[in-house]
Amino acid sequence: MIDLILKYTFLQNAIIGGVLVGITCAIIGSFIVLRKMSFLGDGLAHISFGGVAAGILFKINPLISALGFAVLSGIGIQKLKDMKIYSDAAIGIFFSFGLALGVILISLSTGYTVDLYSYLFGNILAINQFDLILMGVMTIVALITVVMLYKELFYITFDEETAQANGIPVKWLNQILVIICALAIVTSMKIVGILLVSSFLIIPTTTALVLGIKSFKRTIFTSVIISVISVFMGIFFSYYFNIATGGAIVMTLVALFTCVLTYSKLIKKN
Amino acid sequence: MSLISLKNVSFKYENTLVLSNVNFEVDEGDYVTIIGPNGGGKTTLLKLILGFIKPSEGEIKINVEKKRIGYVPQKAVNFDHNFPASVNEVVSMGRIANRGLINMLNKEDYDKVESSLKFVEMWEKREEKIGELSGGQQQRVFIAKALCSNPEILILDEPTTGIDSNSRDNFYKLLKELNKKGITLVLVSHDISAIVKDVNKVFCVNQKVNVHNDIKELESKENKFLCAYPENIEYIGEHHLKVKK
Repeated sequence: MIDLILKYTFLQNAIIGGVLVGITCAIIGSFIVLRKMSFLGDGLAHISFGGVAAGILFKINPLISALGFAVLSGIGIQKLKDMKIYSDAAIGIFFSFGLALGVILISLSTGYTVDLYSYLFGNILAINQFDLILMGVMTIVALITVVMLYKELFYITFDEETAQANGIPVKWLNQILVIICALAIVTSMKIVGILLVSSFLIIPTTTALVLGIKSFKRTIFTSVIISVISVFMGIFFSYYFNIATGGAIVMTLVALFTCVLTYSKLIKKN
Repeated sequence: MSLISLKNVSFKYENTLVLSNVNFEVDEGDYVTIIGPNGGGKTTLLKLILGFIKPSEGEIKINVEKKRIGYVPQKAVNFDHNFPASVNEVVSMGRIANRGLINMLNKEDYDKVESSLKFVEMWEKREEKIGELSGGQQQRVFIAKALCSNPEILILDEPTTGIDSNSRDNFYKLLKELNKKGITLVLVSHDISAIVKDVNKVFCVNQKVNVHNDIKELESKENKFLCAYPENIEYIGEHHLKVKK
């Protein structure tokens, strides 16, 4: 396998892209899952579908148009929440809007379904240098934001009410969290596809939580390890069994989660 | 010096009057307890003081920096017990507002975390997961978190709910100690007889707020103190009250 990685650029790109996405999503996913906002990941991914369709139709890089859509929708979701609309309902409204727009744009033009298919289901092996640079920039922006605001994001994740009482700008931080979640989603889209992208946010953190780790920082670290292992194993399975890479990565994540859950239940039983 | 001052404050939720024409002051060094029946407006009063909600009428003056207000909410021990946070991490949160956005916590912050944990006798448990501690231990951790911000005033909303009686007594001893150190305390509580000997002001809240600035008056004017519970509480002498069955 190492020989192949050294030999083929597309495999190197796939691994670098996968690792970047795995790290970013695992870190942001830790905040999202613990704030019980898992549906946000799925919602933003489906919203991005409209952006991808618009990008392909108007010949803009679909990752850039999807990013614009996801970020604006993230801000919109937060605004609706401020207007006392339930969080899941607000996500649902933008979710439907993004999908409906995507479907309309597809119906306006024919001949680009193959491109769209790679965004819906992911095509990690088709990642090019430009995608990699874009992913790298998005990853750096998301990670720097999390590192700089780590203590505040941790505080509002644990106890939003007390954080607000202590003068932490809760509304502003919620907005930032949604925006960096949008960044992570769009960055991951080419790896696992719109339909599976939320698994990258949810499963590594949930697996780490099942392990019953005692500290938040260690939970994030464990999520990152689980995510990166799944990327490597997924690409390996994909190559040797000739199956879709995105699906193989997600199946590896699910398999790891199942193993950890079974193990932890057995330990508790004994 | 007055730290909190409410003048002619009323609060309406939709068309329901929750608090009517409230006037009181909390001075530096006070140990105030807020008592009253459920639904009487105690938590609303705290939310007004903390700035979570705005009064419909009247004026609220808080002469303390927001970051110097320690707050232990009613649901403090009702957090998600699967949340992966160590005692150390939870207490560190108390330093976040002091440090400001972007800046990392430094040695001074971690020293403060250590001294706060030692004060509440939870230093040995610093690596434990918060959700795995008993209710009484969790409450001590949340007090340590509030202490970390060097509070001038500590506001606690029914902090002993769900805690066993032994831990509760120890908890009140801890509060008394904090008050002696000069921290002003505002405590919403149902444990009237347990704390009445420690406090110097009682606010009876039942839509209106009756303020008792002198606890000594209790013995002669006990009915005044019972204004929040006109029918449910019986005064049995020497600062002791009993809930009628």
